[in-house]
Order: sequence, then C-alpha cells, then structure tokens
Amino acid sequence: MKSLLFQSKYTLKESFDLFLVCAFPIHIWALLMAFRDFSWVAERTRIWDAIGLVAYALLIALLESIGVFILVLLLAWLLPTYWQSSKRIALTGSLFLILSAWAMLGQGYFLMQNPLPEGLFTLLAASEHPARILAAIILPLITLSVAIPALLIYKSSKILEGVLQFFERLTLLSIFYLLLDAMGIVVLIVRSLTQ
Amino acid sequence: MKPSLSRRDFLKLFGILPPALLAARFLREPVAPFNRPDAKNIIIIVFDALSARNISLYGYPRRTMPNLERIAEHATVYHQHFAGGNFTTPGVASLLTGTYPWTHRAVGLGTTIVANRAMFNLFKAFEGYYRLAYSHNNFVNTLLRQIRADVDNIKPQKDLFIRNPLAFDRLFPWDTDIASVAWQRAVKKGGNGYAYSLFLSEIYGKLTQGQMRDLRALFPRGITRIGEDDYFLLEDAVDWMISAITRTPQPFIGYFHFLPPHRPYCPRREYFGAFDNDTIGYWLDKPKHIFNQNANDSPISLKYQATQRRWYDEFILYADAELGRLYDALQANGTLQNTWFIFTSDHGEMFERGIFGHRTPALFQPVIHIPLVILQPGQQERRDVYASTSAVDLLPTLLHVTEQPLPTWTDGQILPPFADPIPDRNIYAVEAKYSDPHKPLNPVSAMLVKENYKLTYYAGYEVLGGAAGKRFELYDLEADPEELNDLYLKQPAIANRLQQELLEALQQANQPYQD
Repeated sequence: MKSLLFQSKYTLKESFDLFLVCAFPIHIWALLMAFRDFSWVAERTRIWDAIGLVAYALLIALLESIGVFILVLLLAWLLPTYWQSSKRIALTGSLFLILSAWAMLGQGYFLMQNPLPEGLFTLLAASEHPARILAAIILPLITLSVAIPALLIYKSSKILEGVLQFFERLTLLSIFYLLLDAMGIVVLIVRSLTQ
Repeated sequence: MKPSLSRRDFLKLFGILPPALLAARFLREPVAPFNRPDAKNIIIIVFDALSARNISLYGYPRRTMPNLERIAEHATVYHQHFAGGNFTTPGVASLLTGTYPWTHRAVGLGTTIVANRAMFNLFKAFEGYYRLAYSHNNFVNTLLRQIRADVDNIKPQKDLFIRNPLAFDRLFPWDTDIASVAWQRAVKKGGNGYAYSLFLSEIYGKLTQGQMRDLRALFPRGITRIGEDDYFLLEDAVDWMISAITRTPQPFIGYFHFLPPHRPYCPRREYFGAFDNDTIGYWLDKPKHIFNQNANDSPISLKYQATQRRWYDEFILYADAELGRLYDALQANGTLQNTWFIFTSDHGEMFERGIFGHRTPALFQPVIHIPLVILQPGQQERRDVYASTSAVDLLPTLLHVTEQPLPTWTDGQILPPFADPIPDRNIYAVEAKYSDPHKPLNPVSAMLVKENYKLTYYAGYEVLGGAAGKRFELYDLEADPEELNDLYLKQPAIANRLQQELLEALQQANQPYQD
C-alpha cells in the first residue's frame, strides 16, 4: 500500500516508521522533563493535576512529532529517487536523531547547570562577537556529526542494515509512547468533563 | 442497519461549525437583564502594588501621579485607606468579598476564597448589572475564575498580552491553570534554557524575539511583563477598556486590574530616568527590621534602596499617564456622567528596613496603605476623608450609593461621606501566606488600626522562634507616620487594650477552624 502523500516514493509503513523515529526523541525528552515537574506540581496542587501536566506534555510532543515528521518527510522527498527508499529513510531518520541529540545536549547542558569551560568563557568574554564565535565552534561539530554518519550509511550496506535494524527496535518503543499519548488524550478529556 | 448520520451529513454539519462558533462569540455578551434607566455604572480600576506612600496626591515629594491629582480635583480622596492584606490574593479577595482575610481565607499565594464566602461577592451583589472583569494578574484571575458564575464577561488574561500564541490555556479554558503551566514549560525556555519541547521551543523563542525587537527600544528597562516573558502593554489594556465600556450594556460594573506599577519596574522611555536628578536622595534611612531580606548580616545598601524606589516611582509615573489617558477618554465619551469611577490598589510596596517589594510578613504602612479615590457622577468639588478606611468598605459603599440593600455578611462599613464615620472603628489587615487556611492561622501577621494608633502582631515565624514566637509593635500614625518609634513598651495601657482587641478578633475568626 502506498502512502497518500508520496505515492511514488514511500509505502505507508515506511512513512509511519519514519514518523515513529521522529516521535521517539521528542517523546522521551518531553516525558523526562514533565516527570521532573511531576512532584513539584503534585505538592502544590494534587496528583491529578500533575497527571494532567504530563498529559498536556504528551499532547504537545505528539503535535511536535507530527510537525517534525512532515518536515523530515519533505526532506526525504527531495532526495534522489534512484536511491532505495530504505536508504533515504535511514538517512533522514539518522539526520533527525543526530539533530535531536544535539538539541538534548544543548538543553541538558543548562539543565545540569554546567558552566561554560573557563577557557571558552574567557575567549567569548574577550571577543566582541561571542555568539558568532560560539556558532563557529559548534556548527562545524554539528556538520561533521551529521555528515560522517550520512556518508557511512550511503557507502556501507552493512551500516545501512544496522541503522534500519536500530530503527525497527526504536519504532517498537515509539509505539509505546503513542499508547501513552492516547492515554494522555483520555486524561485530558476526563479533565475537561470533570472541571 | 443504515447509519443515522451519513458521511455527507457529517460534512454538512462540520461545514456549519465555524459560522456557528463565530455567531456564539457575538451572542456571548447578553443584554443586561436590569432595566433601571437611572442606575449608575461602576468602574473599579486597580493598579497592582501601588503604595499610597509613593503617590504625590498623598504628600510624596516626587510628583509621581499628576493625573491622579487632576482626577482628585472632582473626587473624594481617602487619606488613610488600608488594604486587607499585603499581597494580591488577600488584598483583592477582601475587596471582592467585603471581608478581611481571616474571614475569606484566601491567604496563600494564588489560593481561593473559602466556599461559604465565595458565594457572597461584589459581582453577586450586583446581580442586576452587566458584570465585566479583566486582570493582568494571575492571582486575581484565579479568584475571578472561582466566582465566574457571577461575572458575565471575564476577559481572558492573555487576550491583552503582546504575544497571543496558540497557548493551551486558551485551547483548554476549563483547565486553564494546568494547561497554562504545561504550555509555559513546553515552549518557553526562558532563563532556564530548557523546555519540554526540543524543537518547538526553539522556533517559539526565535519568533518572539523578532516580535519584541521594536518594543525593546521603547522600554529601556525591559518590556512590561508578568513573570518571565508574558509581555503586555498597559496602553493596550487601556485602549481595550475604553472600547469595551462603550459596547457594554448598562448599567454595568467593571473590575479592571492592571499590573503596573508591580515589579518589574519597566517604564516607557519618556518616563525612564524622570527622577534621576531630583533631591530626594536616599529618602529615609530606617533601621533594619527582623523580617529584612538580607541573607547575611550586612547593612542595608541605601544606594540600592534609593535606586529601587526611583525605578518604582518612574513606573508609577508611566502608569499615571495611562490613567490620565483613560480618564480623559471616559470623560470625552460621556461615560463618567453616569458612572462611579473608583481608583485603588490591592496592596503597597516597600523600600525600607531591608525589605523590598511586598513579599514579606511585615505590615508597615508602605505595603498596607493604599490609595482610594472615588469619583461620583457629576461631582465638581474635591472632598478629603482622613478617617481610617479599609478595602472591605468598598463593597457595602457601592451597594449603598447605588441604592441597593446592604448585605449582613460583610466586615465593611459605608465609607464617609456617604455615611457618617464610625468613631473608634477598628480596621484590620492580615497576612498569613504560609498558613493553612483551613486551620487557625499560624504563622500570621495581623494589624489593628484604631484612632491614631496601629498595633501589629507577628506570630509563629521562624525568626521569632517558631510556632510559639510572638512580637507586637505599636505606632502612633499621627505623630509618627514613618513608624520609627515603637511605643509597645512605652504605652502599655494603649498597647494592652489594642492587643486584647486584636487577639480576640483573631481568635474569633479562627474559631470555625479549631480542631
């Protein structure tokens, strides 16, 4: 069966798998963060409100996953059609996972309340353009972290196979998160009926 | 079996949904059910955290509120008006219920009024009027939501914010508190640098930065905001209010609660630095109080104190300009000819004794002495009332002046000159934000003003030695308005008499909550 949007390119299963790959990091981060606030909310109000908070977080994660999936699918659509669809899925999915890892690293850095390394801080403080210098350091790192895996997936069929197997396991976990999303929506409906 | 609703029928129904929703929006504002052509409207304007001590109308040497002075020329000015508590929740709950905080029990941050008191409120009392309310302040919105059945139109808080994104509290209006927290935590990285969302928060941040760029130039100390980044313009709120009032069915009662001059003090460029070169200097150097906020034992920084006060004063000046604009517009469109116009605050702000702002157990005059100016329709002369009055008096007074029956459940009295002042009247204020409202209040701060004396009672605070710790202070407000000379030990007869009255009143209020 073909996907409705990209009939000549991806099957519905491939599209759904790509969606599940996109949903995985978004959900894991949202859940981690929401559960950090769970006790804070429960103490100040009640456990039902804290459950509501997690339900809202899951709903936002679901919407974000759909948005990101559409963008990733558009990107995958731009890739040459003579590549196998599995290769294109592996490439775009990996690219998204690596970018997600960077996003988590970026937020996690603040979360752990880590200060900048002293040398880097001194360099930034002394310069007139700290943001530009920071970008000049980080952007090449991000580019490399994306380009190297992309090249490996493109060149090596073994790595491609490994990535696809990894995605298969990931999608199973993501289905669990989608179930949580469904439960979250039920919670929000119950909350709306009981308020 | 044939389905009762075909796909085509469903699509048809779905098609008429948007116009139906649009129509509902217009039909939501009902026609006032009260048909008394002579009934006067009521507008209550509350500026948050506005201390009477920093207002030129009340003798402050900086000319912080020239427009209020102008309004006062045709109004009644109350010189000794007291808030019910020293922060928004108890202060506004006292105004809305006509009861002291130990009665309405909305004493904690963002808490609500006890159920058996919430049913008696200002809006309920004006049932025949069209009832309209708006507040920038979250705590006020919590109270308004509690009594929403008695208000015809509560303007959503975020309608008057600069950014009005697809926020969850708007999508889930029945669950605003948690939906709002979830939305904030999900998309706003703010100063923390992290959010629930990995990517949406980035996009949201970039979009809002772009939106704010132009306004930043207008507000050198930051754009007026609630919390970290819920930006708003007082100008927008005033514009909305002017237009809403002209469209509101009459008679109406409107409660409008605007955040300035509440911290953070962010005046517009025209008012920024307005008092930089005056001669007030450090103002008064008062001794540190036991509730001072210094983490260590360092002395009070008079420079910091003076800076904070100056920034606050500039913000008042900005808020006053908008008050003036509002007054002029209401004057020009004829609204004030048949409207009672009330200007007040929910609590004050202080910059002395090592205490800054209003999040304090202390009940010194700067946090509890608030403005009250009442403009009667058609009033030409200024009247000054020097008797002590309280926020709880507003509700019975408004009922009295609109010729409605007075409730028995209020702690307030009809304000002079609309009735004769009651001699030797007791005025109270209560602060108990760390107490369980369903138990006898402890820790608690309570104040009694009688004649020219003010007795303050502090109990149960850690700094006083814990649950059993107590402290009394007595000041003669007439001879010592700055509360520098504690008479508690020097005038034992007066101190004992007031102490007994205050403790009896507190005990009586706590009676229903004894185990």
